[in-house]
Amino acid sequence: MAETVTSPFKTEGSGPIAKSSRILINQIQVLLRTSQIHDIGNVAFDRPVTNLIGALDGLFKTDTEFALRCRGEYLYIDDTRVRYDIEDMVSYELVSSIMKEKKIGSFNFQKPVSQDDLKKFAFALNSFVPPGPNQPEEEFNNILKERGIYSIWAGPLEEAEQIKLDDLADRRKMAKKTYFQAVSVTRGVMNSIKSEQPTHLKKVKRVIQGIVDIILGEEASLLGLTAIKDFDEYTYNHCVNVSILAMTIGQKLGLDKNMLTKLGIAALFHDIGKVDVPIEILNKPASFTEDEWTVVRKHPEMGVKAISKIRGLNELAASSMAVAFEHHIFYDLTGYPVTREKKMPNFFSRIVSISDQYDSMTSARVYARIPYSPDKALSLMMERSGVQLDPLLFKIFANIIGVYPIGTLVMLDTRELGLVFESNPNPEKLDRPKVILITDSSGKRVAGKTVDLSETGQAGGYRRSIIKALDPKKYRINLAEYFL
Amino acid sequence: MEELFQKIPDQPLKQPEEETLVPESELKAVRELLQSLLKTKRAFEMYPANNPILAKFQDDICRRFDDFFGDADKLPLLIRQQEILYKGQSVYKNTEKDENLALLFYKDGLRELTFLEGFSHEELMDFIEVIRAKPDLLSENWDDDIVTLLWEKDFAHLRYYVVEEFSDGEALSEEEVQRLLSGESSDDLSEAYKDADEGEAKEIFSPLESISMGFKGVFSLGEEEVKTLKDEIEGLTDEKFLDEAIYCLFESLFMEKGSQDFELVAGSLESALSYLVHTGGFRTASNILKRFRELSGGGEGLSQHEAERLKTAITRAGSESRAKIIAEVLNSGREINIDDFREYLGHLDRASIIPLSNLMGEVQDIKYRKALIDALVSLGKDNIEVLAAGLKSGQWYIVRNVAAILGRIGDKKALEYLKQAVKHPEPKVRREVVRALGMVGGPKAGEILLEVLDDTDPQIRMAALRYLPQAQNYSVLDVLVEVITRPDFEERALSEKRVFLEVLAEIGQEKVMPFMIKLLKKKNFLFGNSKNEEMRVSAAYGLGNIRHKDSLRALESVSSHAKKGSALYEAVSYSVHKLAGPDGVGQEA
Repeated sequence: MAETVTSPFKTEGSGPIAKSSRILINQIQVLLRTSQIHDIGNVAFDRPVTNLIGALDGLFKTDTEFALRCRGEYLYIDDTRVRYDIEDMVSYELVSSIMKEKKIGSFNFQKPVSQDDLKKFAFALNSFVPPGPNQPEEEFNNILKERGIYSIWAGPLEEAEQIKLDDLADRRKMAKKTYFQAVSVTRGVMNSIKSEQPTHLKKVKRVIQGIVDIILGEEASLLGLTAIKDFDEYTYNHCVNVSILAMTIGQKLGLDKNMLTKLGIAALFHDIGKVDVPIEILNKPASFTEDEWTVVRKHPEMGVKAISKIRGLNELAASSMAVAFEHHIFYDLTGYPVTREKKMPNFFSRIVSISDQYDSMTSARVYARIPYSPDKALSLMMERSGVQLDPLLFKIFANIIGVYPIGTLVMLDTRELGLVFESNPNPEKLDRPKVILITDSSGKRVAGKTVDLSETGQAGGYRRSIIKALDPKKYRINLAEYFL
Repeated sequence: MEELFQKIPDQPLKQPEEETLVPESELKAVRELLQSLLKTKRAFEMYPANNPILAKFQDDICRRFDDFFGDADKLPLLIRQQEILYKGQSVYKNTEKDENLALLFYKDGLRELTFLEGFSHEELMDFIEVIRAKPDLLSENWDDDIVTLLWEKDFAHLRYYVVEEFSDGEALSEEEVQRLLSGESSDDLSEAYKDADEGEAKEIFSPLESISMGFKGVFSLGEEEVKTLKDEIEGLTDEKFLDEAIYCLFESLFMEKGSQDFELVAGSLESALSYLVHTGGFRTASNILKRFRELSGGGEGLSQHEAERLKTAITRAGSESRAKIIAEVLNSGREINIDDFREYLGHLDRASIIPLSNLMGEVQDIKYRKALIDALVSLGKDNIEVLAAGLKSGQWYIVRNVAAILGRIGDKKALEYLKQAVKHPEPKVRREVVRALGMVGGPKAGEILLEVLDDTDPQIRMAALRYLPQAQNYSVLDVLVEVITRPDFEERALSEKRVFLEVLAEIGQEKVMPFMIKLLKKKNFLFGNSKNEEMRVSAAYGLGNIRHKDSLRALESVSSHAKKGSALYEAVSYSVHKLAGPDGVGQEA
């Protein structure tokens, strides 16, 4: 018996507060960029400053004071996380990375904030270099006061390492639990379909909702689990992995939680048609014969029939049906099944197609008999982008997986070896993921400590950088040991 | 689920289970609030959404929540199987299985519910929506429970605690964990160091090179690209997904041509159709019907048997049982696009005529009834006898509408059926039948209209009269004259007498002119015989319909004697004016 509690995060999706929050973040980004190029008197400031004042007014409606906070990878207005739209993705990530870089945890705004305050604030922030570990925010506040700004002040970055590690351990535990619940539920549902028993989808929905909660909080733990490929009965893990990858793409796209659930369920059932493919074919150690291919290629169509059988049609079944049918139809409309009427596969189908290809290629038991290393898979997929795969969605996916995909073994300039655990959401810093260290600089094995490669040292330079990437399988490194 | 019933949360949750001192008034408020909640839930299950009784319950529960939060900042409830606790004290107890608020929450795994200050009326209504029983209509498609629904609603001022039941056990067995870990990583990673140093390692995507190019092009989206994605995301509606699913089903249907699974897919499309009707999705539903029609029409390589299968589906789309569902949907107050509904009806076959006719008696909104009538007009054209069966309905309302539809179709075949309805006990029906007879027209319609001249309702008699000229049946003249010369005819109202004589003149023209003139000139021998006077007035109006100089002359001669301002004077002047006017006989003369 496991527990779930409502997500601790309150996410503001729509409404005037959410809108003002998004404009605020967006315009801070524009303001900072403008102040890098122009003098303080330049007219280029007029628009961002006016927009910012508008956003601030919106946020001051409920209180005379509020804070824009950066915690982990996310931004919050007070304690409400700001959900971003795909349009705001870049500003969102830029603002959060600047706050981390400057070691500032929050910007507090108190009514009234003048146009002049905002401009001066931008210049102060741009030129600010954190002086070291001791209260950088106080240093910044002194600068603000010197320039006569009293309506804005900075708060400390939530003290990293220790708290974060505990937190991370908890989150990983939660992620692990949810992941295996998902595998279990998937196995249960698939079995009941195979044996033509009544199928209950409530459990599926609940477990996918649980995954959505985790993904909206922090996706890395789950993505790490998708990198472990050594499970028995990989079929069910594959379903769950594709579902997690798809929902992660959906999360980046800014889909709301109900839409993410729908996507997750559709992705989980993408191969449902395979329950009707004889197990001897699916588990065949050698390549398929032409006849066997014909059978395997029927699984999308069988998927449609399987979903019809269990549920008939409703809103939930509809998206699952589309994905089950179309996930092997490519962006250029080739692939299978061959349809009478050609049309671009559904948005969800295209997301699942990418997730499915990646997980299939990187695991040994589905389709490709010899697994590709994650990076090899990703570069192959890059070649297929725009042909087989939707190029825009692929970009999002590549951002999630990163230049160094999760599970990649990397050698750092400190001569430590590490496993890539989480990609850097800032597209400018894709080469700086989070890494679990597995050896120290002398090559001795160490218990997995997580480090962030975007962390800078005293002198401002990066503490660690990747110099080489390797395939962990070649050196008998068991990902489960670190990611489970 | 059984197993779950026996389990009691093994650890205390976030509130004390032991009894604490809580003022009785506070407990009473919570007890009454929960009772009110249960009553409101029940009311929502019993009454349609627009029922005024609901508002009363709504007001009560809202007021109780407001009152409670006047003194407290949260309302924490601990859920047990048959009991609800507040601050350790029982505030709800029920050992029954039905209508049990505690069990309702408990069975889905809810163990704690905390309403927070700020819980708005809107949230409260959403909450009731979550806990109310779902309509049977959709229950077979139901994949939700209270927990999934609470999650979807994303309440800002409600916290809950759930236990999950996963009877399949923890998914990962101990052995599997052991196995996963037993392939423990090699301690010796010198090989990896060697490869890295000797350049064996790969530089994925040549990251350094990518950095120098800037990641933007490779990994970031341009403004246009972002817009494209945003548009796609905005297009992700339920309706769109349903369309996509229908597309997949039709593609599958073609793939299954000649296979026994054709039946399975066709069945799925039919159940999709049924679901869509349930949910008011008439647009997508009509698309399915449209394609069924195209495919069953041949030319798509379907076997005879397969084509028949699809025709059956069309027939069932307009069946009695489907019509019942349509009535429920149309009466539910849900927003239905009228054009989509019309299109759906337009695809049905003749088998739907009787169900749709009956539907007219059940649907409340006039715009849907109009759509039904239009559909029946077009379906009934080639199926008069089927449609006319509706005239035998026990509901006068349906009979009236069927009569109207037959009238609009205007097919003479309808007359024999209308003839049977002309004596219907409901005057509204008889009036509609008369109108229908008039619209069909022709000598036979005239004959039937004559039967109405003895109707008990003068309005209906007059209506029948007014349609008589269109029947172009001269044999009616004798009947009219016969009625007019009956001794009791004078007793009828002036308005009816006037119509009789106007119609008689209009049909009979010169043939009846002497008779009319005679009536006009018939003097009052008895002083004050107003009935006779009325006959003269009516004749005067009638003569205005006979375009003949003798008619005009007769009128003029009376005109000079008639008392100015009298009814006769008015009538004569009116007709003289009509006949002597620019279009009258005056010009000919």
